[in-house]
Amino acid sequence: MIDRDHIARLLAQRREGFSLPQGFYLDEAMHEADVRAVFETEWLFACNACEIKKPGDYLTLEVGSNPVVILRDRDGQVRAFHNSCRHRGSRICGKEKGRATRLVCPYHQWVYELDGSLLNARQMPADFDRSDYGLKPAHVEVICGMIYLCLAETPPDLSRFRQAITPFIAPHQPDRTKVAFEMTLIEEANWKLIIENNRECYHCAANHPELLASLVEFALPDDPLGPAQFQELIARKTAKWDALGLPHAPADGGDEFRCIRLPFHEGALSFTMDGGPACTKLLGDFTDPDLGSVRMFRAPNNWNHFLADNIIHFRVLPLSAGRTSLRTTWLVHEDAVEGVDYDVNRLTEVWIATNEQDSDLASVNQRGIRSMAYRPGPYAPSEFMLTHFTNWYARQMEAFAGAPAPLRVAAE
Amino acid sequence: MSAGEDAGFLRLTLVEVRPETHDVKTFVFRPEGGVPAYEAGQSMTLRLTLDGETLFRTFSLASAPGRGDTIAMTIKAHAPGRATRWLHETLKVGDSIEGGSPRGRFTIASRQTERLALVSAGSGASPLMAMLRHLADTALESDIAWLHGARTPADMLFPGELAGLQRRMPNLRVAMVASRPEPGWFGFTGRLSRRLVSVALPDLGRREVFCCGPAGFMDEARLIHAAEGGRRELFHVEHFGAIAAPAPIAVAADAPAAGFAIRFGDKRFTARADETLLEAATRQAIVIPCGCASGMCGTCRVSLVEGEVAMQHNGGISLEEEAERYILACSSRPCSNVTIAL
Ligand code: FES
Ligand code: FES
Ligand SMILES: [Fe+2]
Repeated sequence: MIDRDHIARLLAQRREGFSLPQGFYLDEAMHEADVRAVFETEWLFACNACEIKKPGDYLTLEVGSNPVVILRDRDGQVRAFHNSCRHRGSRICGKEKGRATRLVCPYHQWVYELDGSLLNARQMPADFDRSDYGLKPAHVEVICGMIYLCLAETPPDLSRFRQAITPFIAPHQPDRTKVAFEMTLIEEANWKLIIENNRECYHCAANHPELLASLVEFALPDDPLGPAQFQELIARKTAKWDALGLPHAPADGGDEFRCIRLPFHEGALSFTMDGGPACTKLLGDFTDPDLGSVRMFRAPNNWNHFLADNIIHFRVLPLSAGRTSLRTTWLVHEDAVEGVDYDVNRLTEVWIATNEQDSDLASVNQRGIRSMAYRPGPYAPSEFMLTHFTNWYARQMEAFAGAPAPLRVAAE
Repeated sequence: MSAGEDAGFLRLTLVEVRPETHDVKTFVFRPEGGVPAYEAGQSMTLRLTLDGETLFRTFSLASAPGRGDTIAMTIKAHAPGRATRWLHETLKVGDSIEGGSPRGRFTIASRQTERLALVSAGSGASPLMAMLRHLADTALESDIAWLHGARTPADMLFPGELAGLQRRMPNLRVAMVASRPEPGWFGFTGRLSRRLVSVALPDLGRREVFCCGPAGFMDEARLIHAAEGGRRELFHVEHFGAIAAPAPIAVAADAPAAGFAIRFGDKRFTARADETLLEAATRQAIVIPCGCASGMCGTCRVSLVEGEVAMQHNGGISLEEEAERYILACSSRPCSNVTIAL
């Protein structure tokens, strides 16, 4: 059961700039609270518009205990519905992905149109009013080829996010991409540890040899820890991107999101073992293969990389207090041909290795937090994005839990 | 004795002039003694005498080899170009000029694959037309995409002939792009870009490209071909003097600052190790016949009698010629005192 008071008390214990109190990572009740306070409230990255290109294409996911289907209707609009039949509640679409002309419940075959309306309910009485039993819709927004989903009745405002990131991402023309590879990893860690792990590269030097062949560890153009040659590299690349009209300076996303274009190491173009191109057919209308990567993150559940030749999306969804699913999709130009323009192994091997390493780190982190000796520990300056994230998370939980009730002193 | 006779210049008699557009004409010449062997895509350096001055200019041959006893060049009259204006305005049918041996590595014979794109802007279509005519003569089934850009619809080259070739060549696709369209133009408009290529020639990246046009156009086409996934070695350009400067040749530390002593017939001049023999000669008002000044046309060929040079050329000299100690003056820098002869 969710004890809002308990959450409020833990929040009151929390110190800014420190990892969270133990209960936030371990309690099953807290997982439920996270689902309610964050995942059923916020906008979530669900999938890519290019995964459902044609009318009837759909994709399913589970948000907490909510099965959801996202599809493209006959008019080409992206829609989302709760994937639960209005007869007796059966889940309707069972496959992870597919194409359907209608949504037909497998149980008693109620038939829904792609706009969610109930088209046919056999054996129901003549006076049965089907219009009362359409599928329950959820909110969707498509931003630069990314489908965001919100299960709340009244979704939060996404316009600031949309406006800030569009100039960075639109030139990569995500609408003209296709999924070259997708992979879902089940990680043995709380979802917040997956995000925390992703938001810092303090751990990179010791753990990610493949990634560091191309990725520069520093997260800000003026990182004081960055060596002089990094500053010089940034100056050179940003001058070129300015000439190409491609934005690079960090967007002001506050705690909610982050968007910046950063260069790869000198000579590296893409996330490959040797830094060479991953796909020879470049995205959009680009003719320059050296565009660094737009690194984007949005709380609570996605981070992304937009390169000249491919796009990588990472989607986090919590399964329980100690389990999380991470779905990674690699997108390339829609006309790129496997085996000619790109090789799936070359395209994916760096991030498959990195995901694996991060998954280990997060699960080891989770196990250590179980210790009775665990106390929240301080973030390093290079972990500033973790402070952003935990502050953002604490605000969500505060809004959910309300102010802490005065502590009742046990009268014994 | 004129230098030309030694360098193997041919007498060319103008037998026909065909207007192509308002500022482009095709000149058909009959070489004395028969058409020299050449490959579709190669060029020829003309030696023109204007008001007593000798000029060398290199033009692509637009004709296909093996067709009769004439050769043709499709030439645009450039406003500031003395030579091209003279050709357009003064040269008359029956007149004759001189031309060197056909040269160049930009040839259809150098292709490595069978799916071709012939991409041109303006009069750059000329060597590509030679290639297309040659393929029409020898391989009607060839898979060819022709992409041509010009300013206005009236500037498009060879529309009628292309239509005729399309009737005979089932796998010839033609796309024309006007940067300044006019009413009645139904082709593509704009400038060369990936977006335009994605509709006008969507499989460019899968084709071997022969490209000729202004330097900026060829650079853009090369980037687009690469961005579409095309391999660098399947992209060929005709440089025509618009070539990037060759990589500097390391100059030996002990090279004399004043330069090496060069003997050229009965003339003497000095050449520093960082300049070509042609540059040095020109600086000292000594004429070595030249055309492209970038190692492609072979006009500046001289024989190296004594001494050593470092040569970086662009196909304007054959291996046999090199073996016979010929060098291109425009592409050779001295490494010692040198004696050369025509
Ligand atoms: S539960 Fe869907 S038709 Fe019965
Ligand atoms: S002038 Fe053309 S090769 Fe030297
Ligand atoms: Fe990591």
